[in-house]
Formats: sequence, structure tokens, C-alpha cells
Amino acid sequence: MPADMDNSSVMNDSTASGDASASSSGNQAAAPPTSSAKKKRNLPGMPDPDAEVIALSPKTLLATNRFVCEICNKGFQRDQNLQLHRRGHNLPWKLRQRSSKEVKKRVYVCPELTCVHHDPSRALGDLTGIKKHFCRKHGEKKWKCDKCSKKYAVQSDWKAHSKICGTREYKCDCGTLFSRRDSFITHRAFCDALAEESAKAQTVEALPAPTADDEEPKLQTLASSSPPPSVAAQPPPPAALASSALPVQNPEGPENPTQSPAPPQILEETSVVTSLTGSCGSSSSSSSHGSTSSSVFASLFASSTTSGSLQSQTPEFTDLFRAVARPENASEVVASSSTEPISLCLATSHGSSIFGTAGQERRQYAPAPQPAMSATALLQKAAQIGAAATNASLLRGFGIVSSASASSGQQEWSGRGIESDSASLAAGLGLGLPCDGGSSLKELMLGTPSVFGPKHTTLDLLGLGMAAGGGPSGGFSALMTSIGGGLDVAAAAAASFGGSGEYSGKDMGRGS
Amino acid sequence: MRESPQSSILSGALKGCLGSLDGACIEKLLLHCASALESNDVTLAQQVMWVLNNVASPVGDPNQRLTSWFLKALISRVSRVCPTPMNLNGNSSPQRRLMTVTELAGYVDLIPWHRFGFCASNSAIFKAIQGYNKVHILDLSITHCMQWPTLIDTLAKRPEGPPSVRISVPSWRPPVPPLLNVSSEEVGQRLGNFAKFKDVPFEFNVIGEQPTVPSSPCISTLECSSLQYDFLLNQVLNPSTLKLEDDEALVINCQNWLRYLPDEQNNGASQEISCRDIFLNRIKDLNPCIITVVDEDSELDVSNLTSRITTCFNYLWIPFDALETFLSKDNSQRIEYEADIGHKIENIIAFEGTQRIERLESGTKFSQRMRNNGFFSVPFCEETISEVKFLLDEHASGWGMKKEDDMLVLTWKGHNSVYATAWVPCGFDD
Repeated sequence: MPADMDNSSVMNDSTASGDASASSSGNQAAAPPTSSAKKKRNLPGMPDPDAEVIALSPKTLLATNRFVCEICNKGFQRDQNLQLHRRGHNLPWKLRQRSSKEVKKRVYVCPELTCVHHDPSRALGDLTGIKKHFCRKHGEKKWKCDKCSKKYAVQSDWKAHSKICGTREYKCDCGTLFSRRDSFITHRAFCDALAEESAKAQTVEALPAPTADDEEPKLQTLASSSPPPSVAAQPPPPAALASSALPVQNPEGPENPTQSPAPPQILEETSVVTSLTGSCGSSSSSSSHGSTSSSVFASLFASSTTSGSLQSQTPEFTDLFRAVARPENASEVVASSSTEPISLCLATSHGSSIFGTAGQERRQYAPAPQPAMSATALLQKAAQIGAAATNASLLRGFGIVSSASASSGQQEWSGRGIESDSASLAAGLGLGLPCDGGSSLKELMLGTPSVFGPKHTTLDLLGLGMAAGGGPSGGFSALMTSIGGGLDVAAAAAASFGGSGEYSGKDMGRGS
Repeated sequence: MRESPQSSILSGALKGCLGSLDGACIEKLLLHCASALESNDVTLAQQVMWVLNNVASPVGDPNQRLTSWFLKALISRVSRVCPTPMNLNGNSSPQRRLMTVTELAGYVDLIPWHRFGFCASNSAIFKAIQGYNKVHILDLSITHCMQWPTLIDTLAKRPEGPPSVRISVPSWRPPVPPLLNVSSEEVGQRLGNFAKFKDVPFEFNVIGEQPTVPSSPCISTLECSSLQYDFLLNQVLNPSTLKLEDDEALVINCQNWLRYLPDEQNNGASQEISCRDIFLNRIKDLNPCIITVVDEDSELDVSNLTSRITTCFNYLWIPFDALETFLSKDNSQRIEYEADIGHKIENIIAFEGTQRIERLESGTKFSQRMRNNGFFSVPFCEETISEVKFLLDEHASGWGMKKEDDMLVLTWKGHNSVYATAWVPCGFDD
């Protein structure tokens, strides 16, 4: 089985959750003497709190000889070989034994700071796993598939891929290709092409070889008299295209002029276009797609510069919440809520009528990069937030409008109305606030905590035991100090959320 | 408060820091934010949010993306202090795009998150119904019947010929993604076409009358959820509504479903038993020949907010990490998939009481519950295990599988993600 040995081919009967399966060779790797800092930590969410967290250096991880003799520094690929070698040094008996009497569970973290596996709660359970990860993720991709030009950093990955590349391809009547049978079957069952055929079930002469279709790579397609009207039949999952040389066939052909100018070499482009057009649902209003798609396509590549300007605005918070609290200003709020998504989404304002509300909040955008702020400046600014009551752009910058409207999401969950028990709401927040409309919320957001009683810091989580007189900003700096060296902030990404993930309660009412 | 002298302390603390926040730091920040909210330290909460805001990005690296959804959920929680007049106008909330059936078919196969459960369950079902000529599947799941084409395909090739297959789905489903742009009936019709194409006798039913959800916004969420619960209990798990037949193998498939059943004590009665347990007992009463249960392996039904945040953060990094391995940062399928996870995060973090419908319990805990309620676990046979292995081999190499007691568990880089189990009632009458 070509797959990574510490994954699918090994089964582990242990009951420890999150425990990675042991490497199949049974090697308990000795930590090489060149390992960098070994930290032991007890973290929430960590599967095995007693495990020793080991952070190896990149050099160690990439080294093929990871078992090193402590006496002469000679390196070996296998532990057994190292032990054989050590015997040759004629060591006294007690030194011959391996020092690891303790069978302590070891987990490994990635040395790369930005990597998700740098965090001990995301550690990998065995040395081979972390080495392969490091190589795959942060290493150079030296191995290239001849058939499809995919590149791999780990040789076994490359081998595994080469075995299956181009060997199996399943083609649906609609033209989509699949490399996995189960995805092909599932797609086929729901594909419009099949629905079409069933409608014409009387002319069954084309049907005789249904099983033959499935088993071998399909070269012939069953006759269908009209191109399927499906608009979104092929959002191509990456696995669907076994090789990038085979573009997805969009059966809309002449009806969708954007397909011709856009050679679908880049998979993501194609999927964006098809799924955008797909947001119209399965209706066959293909005539409107032509113009829409091209304008949408154009805006996909136009840099959205307006999003940057949104971030730099700092409208007063009070204005926002006044607007939110009073219905007569609702239009003002609505306007601002719609500017945000417009600048950030491909569907511009004129697109709303075509895509419907559904397409409006798509998050398909390349955000304009914020001017980079140094981490120091960032945290200085953060500390000032409590100091200056007027610096209230915080939640506005978040797109508070969308979250204010998110509170209408309460409806989504219950299906109806709002929680009439406001006391329980406030209680749920842990705030003993009487719910009296916008003003208390305003105070909340402006950070005047006098409403809430005595000021105190909340850092006992870290066991800092800060004095109550520290005050909130003192608490913050203590927080930052405690996080210390591990903390930095990359300010490169856009900060606002272009639309929330709210959902209609449509499902609730369906099925009649 | 004026310009604090602590700003020099801040710069000191940050000297030499490079790169972006790692997961451990983000987690700490989230926790501090939550604990600040819980103890009314609004200024601290604001400050932490401000920092997180500058890290978060829905199109950044996995940590940034995950953070953006968590931050959004925290903000949602904060802004829930007062319901505003905006709430009454449901149209103000932007809506998640509805998918077509073929898009959903691709969606469930992006990563083996769902397919793992489908494969294990279908294999167990196939084995359990051997010898039966009629099968009735009660499908309680959130993926709109995406599981069944492969089972129908396998049944079609059964040496003794396919059984006749009947699939029933409730007319109500939890209001969670993934969302379809067609009705359950339409889904059933397509499935029927497919079954016909495979020469498998097939029937599809949508069970029960819609729970009457009044249009007035005055109904409380508590009332609404008990309406839904009653509907499930009395209309769906009802032998006559289901039209159960004696010579039929009854299969009950629960996929990402049981977590939506409330687990508090059933009001009005002095018993200790919860709604979830009542539901399971009712299932037992139907005498199914197998019950397949698949769900995510994480303990998220705890009352403490900070532990929910921690657990959630240390669990949901998995799909974000998996999607990162093969989809680009602005890939729309990836963004949508992550947005759906964000929806879940929001419910877990921003809501309480009956509005918090995501009440996931870990696989181990769930298995214990099943045993307590009088079910035997059905071990997965070697064939099933190799089928699942074969499936995982076709996906990215980080996916693995392990056996944990009675469960098959999907792992990503060794971390538990989804569990699959199969059960029969003790004293099942064949």
C-alpha cells in the first residue's frame, strides 16, 4: 500500500484519543542529540497531557540519518543499525542499554513558526509523521509526476500518485470527470443528465450497458438530444480532474460565451465561474448568464480597492448603534451594510437582481492588503482602545452591521422571532445588564465598564494573579507579556468580514 | 485612562517576534476574550478582539481563517446583548447560498469527512440486511441523501439480486448547512431515477406533516424546539407513519443528527432521562435491524464557554488544515465549506439555551449512552475496514483511520475527526 505508513495502513487499538498510530516498523525513535528545546506542556485540548513535546530542528527533520551515535557521531537510518554499531565501541554494560527506560509518549511539533503544527495541541504522534509533514509542507518539491506535472516533496507521495495518475477516470454524461468511483456514482445519481434521460425513458436503446459505464473509463457518452440545462452541474472538485490537461467540459457551450475566452487551465478559475453561475440554481435562465458571467469574471480579476477604504474609515460607534437601535435610520445602516459586501464580493450591486440575495454575500475576493503595521504598533494601539473613548472603530471594522444582523440569526435557529426573555440573553453573556435599548450597548462597546461594577483583570487563566488595581489596560499588557515570545501579529490580511454566514430558515419550511 | 506607560512593556514583550500568531497564541487570545466577556471586562475583550481582528482573515492561512470565524462568533455573542429592531426584519441577514444537488455531491466529497461515515455505514448496512428482500431506511441526516447512491449501486450488484429499497426522510431537518435549493421530494425523485437506472425497486417518502411553525415572531425558541422534538418523536418515529412491515429490514441511519436532540432533563417529568435518551428508546421500540450512527468526535456540549472555545478551536482546525492542502486560498468551494463550519462555530459560541442547537458529544461518551440505553455495538468487519482504507488511500495522505473500542474513527494527521458506529437493540427480534 503506497500510502503514508503512519496513516491509513496502520490500525491502532489504543483507546487514547487523538493518539497517532505508531509507525509500522515498530521503531521507537530515539531523539537525536541535535534536537532543539524540549518543552513539556500541559494544554487544554491536548490529547495526551502527559506527552513530552519534542521540537526538532529543520536540519534534523530533513536528515536521513536520524540515529546518531553519541560516541563518534556517526549517523544511521535505522535504530537497529545504530545499536549494532554501538556494540563495536565496547561500552560497559550499563551504558549499552538505551537510556529510554521511561516509555514516555512523545509528540512532535513542527519548528516552522507559522505552521499549524507548531502548536503542541496540533502535534503529530510519531517522528516519521513530523518528518514527512515538514518535508511536504516546508520542503522543496523535488519529485515530479511525468504524466500530469504535479510535484511532491516526499518520494513516497510521488510514487503513490504516479501509480494512480491517469489510470482510472469515470466520465459522467454531463462531461465531468472523476478519479474516484464513489464521487462519480454520487454525482451521477443526482446529475441532470440522468434526470433528462429518465424523462425520455421510453427510448431505452442507449441504456443497455449501464454497468459497463461504471467499470471502465468511459469513452462514449449516451445520446442526449439536448444539452442539459443544468447551470451548475460541474463544480469540479479537485479530484475530479485527474490531470490538469483535461479541462472540464461545460456543456453550455454556445450559451455561455465566457467559457471560450477562458481556457480552463487554472482549476480555481473555472470552479469560481461555474459555481457563480450555479448560484442561480438549476433554472435554465442561461441567457442571462452570458453577460453576468463576463462582468463577474472581469470583477474577479479587478482588484477591489474599495475594501481598503472601508477599513480606514472610523465612523463613530455611537452613530452606528443609534442607527441600529432606531428603525427610521435603518436605511442608513442597510446602506452601509451593502457597501461592505459590494466592495468585497464579486457580485456587485447590479448583480443582486440576477443572483438573488443568495449570491450577494459571496466571499470570493482578493482583499486589498492593509498597510502593514508592526506588531508593537498594533498592540500599543490596542492598549489605547480602552483609553480613548472615541477610538471606537473596533466593531465597525469588524462589520458590526453584519453581526447586528447576525442577531437576527436568532431567528434562524429558532425559526421564529427573537428571544423574548432578554434577561436570559444578558445572562448568557455573563453581563448583568438590564436590557434597555441602544444606550447600554453603546456604553458596552465604548468600553466604559463602570456599569459593570468593580474593575478587575481576568487573567487567572494564566495564573498571573494580577492585582485588581491593574485595570484593563494593565491586564492587557500582562496578557501580552505572558504570551511573550510566541506572539506576533501579522496585519497583512483584510480585517473585515464581508458578510456573515447567516442562513435562511428555508429548510424549516420545506417539504410540503 | 490615559496613554499608558505600559506601551513600552508591550514593545519589550514583542521584540524579536516574527511571523504570524501560531495556534497556541490565538487560542489564548480567544480564551482571554471569552473570559473577559464572562467577567464583564469589556475593555480587555475589546482590546483582544482588536488584535485578533488584525490577524483574522477568511482567505488567509488556516489559522487566520479559523480565527476569523471564531472572532465573528464572539462578536455575534457580544452583540446579542440587546435584541434590536433589526432582528424582526429577517431579510437583513445575508444568506448562505443554496447549493444544487450536483454541487452538494461535490461538496461532500471534497474531503472524506462525510464520505468516511457514508462508506462505513453503508458497508455495515449491507452486511446487516443480508438475506432480506426488503429494506426500509429511515434517514436522519443533514446531507440530503448523498449517502445512498453508493449503497444503491452496491445493492444492485448483490449476487442474489437487489432488495427493494424504501427510504424515508423526515419533513423537517435542522436548520444547518449544507443547504439545498430543491426540496426533499426532488432529491428523492432523482434518487428514484438512479435506482431505476440500476434496476433496484425503489420508493421514497417524506415523513410527517410539517411542524406548524407559526409566522408570528412571538413564539419563543423553547416552544419552537419542543414542537420540532415532538414532531420527530411522534410523527417520525411512529410505526404507522413509517408504515413498518414485518418482512422488511428496518435500518435507521443517524448522520450528524443526534447532536441536535436536546440532552437536558425532560421537563414535566421527574425522570432523569433526557430527550436524547427518549429518542433513542423510541428507536429501539421500532426494532431496527441496525442503527448506524456517525458524528464528529468532539465534546462540545458543555456549559462553560471557555472550554467550548478551546475544544472547538482544537478540533475544527482539522478540516481547515485538510482543505489547505489542496485548495487555493480563494477557492470558492473551500470558502463555502469553511463558512459552513463558521456557522457551526457561531452557534456553539454565540448562543445559549435552546438556541444553541449544536450539542455534540464525543464518540466515547455517545457509545456509553447507547450501551446505557440498551444497545449492543456491532463491530465493523474486515471487509468494511478495508473498504474504508481503500477510500482513504484515494484522498490526501494525511487521512487515516483507527479502531477505538466499537468505533471506527477517521483521523487527520493522527487526530480524531469523525466516528462511525453501528448498533442493534438488545433483544432484537429477527
